[in-house]
Amino acid sequence: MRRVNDGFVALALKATLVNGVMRTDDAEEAELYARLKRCMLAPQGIGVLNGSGQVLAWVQMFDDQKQIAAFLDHAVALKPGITERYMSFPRNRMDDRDVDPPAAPAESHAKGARCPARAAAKGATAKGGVTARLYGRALDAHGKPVADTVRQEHYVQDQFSISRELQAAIAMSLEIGRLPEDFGRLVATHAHLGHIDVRPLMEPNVGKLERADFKATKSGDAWRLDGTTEVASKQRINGSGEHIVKLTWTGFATFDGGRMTRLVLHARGTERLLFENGSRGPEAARLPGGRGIDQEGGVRYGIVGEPVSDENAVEGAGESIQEKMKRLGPAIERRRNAGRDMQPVGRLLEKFEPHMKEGRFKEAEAILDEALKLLDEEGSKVEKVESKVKWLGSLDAAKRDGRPVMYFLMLGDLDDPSC
Amino acid sequence: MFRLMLVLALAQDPTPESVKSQIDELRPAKLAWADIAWKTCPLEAMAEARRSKRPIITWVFLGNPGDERC
Repeated sequence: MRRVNDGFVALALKATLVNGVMRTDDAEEAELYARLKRCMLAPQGIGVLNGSGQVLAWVQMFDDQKQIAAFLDHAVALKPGITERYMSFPRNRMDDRDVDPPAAPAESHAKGARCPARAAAKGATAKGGVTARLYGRALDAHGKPVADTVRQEHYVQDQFSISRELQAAIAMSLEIGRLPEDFGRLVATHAHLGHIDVRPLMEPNVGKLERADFKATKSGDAWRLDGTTEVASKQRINGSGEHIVKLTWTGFATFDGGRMTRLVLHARGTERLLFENGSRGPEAARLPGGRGIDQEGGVRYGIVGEPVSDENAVEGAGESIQEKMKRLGPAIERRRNAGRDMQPVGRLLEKFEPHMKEGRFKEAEAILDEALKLLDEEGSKVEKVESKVKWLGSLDAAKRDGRPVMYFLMLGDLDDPSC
Repeated sequence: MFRLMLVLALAQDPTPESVKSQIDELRPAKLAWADIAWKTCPLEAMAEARRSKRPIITWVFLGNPGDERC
């Protein structure tokens, strides 16, 4: 740790921002991410840059633990010009990248401007959302938290957002006394030990929410929340195994109208976590896949939620490239099933991937928008025709049944509510 | 004494304060990875690197070393 602090400036960057899954509206940051993206061997990893933002090295893992220190020695002596890239340092070196020196970066963001990267690091909560911080500990045979807090199967901290919509849904359900299942699902999604790949309710892991019941009772100015969550899954990401978490929750939430103003929740329960990936050898040599875990026992979790400040809220946390890509699949399927020409969409999407690979996310997103517009327009045309056919069909049926028919002569369209 | 008070508090009906105390108990006093002075603003990191004539080591990953799992 001292070595990193003394020899380097340490910078933590969200992979979602660097890989364009989340948008950045800051040109300087976008330029840096594009430079990183051109040198990365995988969506996550470790890079070395100089003060101009030129990427000097990229490394995915290390031959063994000692090579971590050797890499730090190597990295402080690197000169600008090329980017050295290692799948594993030092033995598995990939092709270097020639890089042009970037323009001098700004000293800071413009006065009053937000830093998208800093906001994303604080939880990627959209305006009006609640940032929930979660802490979890494995318990020893005596029911005490396991002393080790380095391994994520022993201690975990995480954060997630409670959207405005979910807050409103919770607020509306309080008087009924039963919270929406989405709240229990959200809590159960994040309350687990281990690294992110073993998240029970994350595809392609095959997870099932067995139970997510929360009831609410008024307690002074707050609402007391009591609940039970149970999840069970089969691991499918970078390994195999099972993950079963059963928790009983108690806590309190306060609301101002439809907005949650504070949340404290504590849980006790049990957790079975088996993750096998056949990995052997030093941990530094298998950083992306993680190590095997086999444990079962008592656990405790705590969640503290507070509204995100405007300064730390993520703007444009609406639809990301990833979400648009999810929408694209069904839209293409609809077009294909309708027997329509796929070539215009295909031609557009051919241009998408090169932009993504080179980190030109704005250009990639523009293509995605164009493709979705094309597909949506097709979809809405089909719906309009279908609705007209239905309407005409009902006229025919009325005539057949001898029922009177009233005709409207109008300037607009039946689909237009203003007609 | 503190533990006794905590046990007594827990034996009673929970309050927002007692729940918060239980959560605080889960948080370790010291976290090894938190000893690194992580910056999260790239412009600030680059400016600091130029000032101190040190390179930047950047960790690109799904979470962040302060608050999120990886």
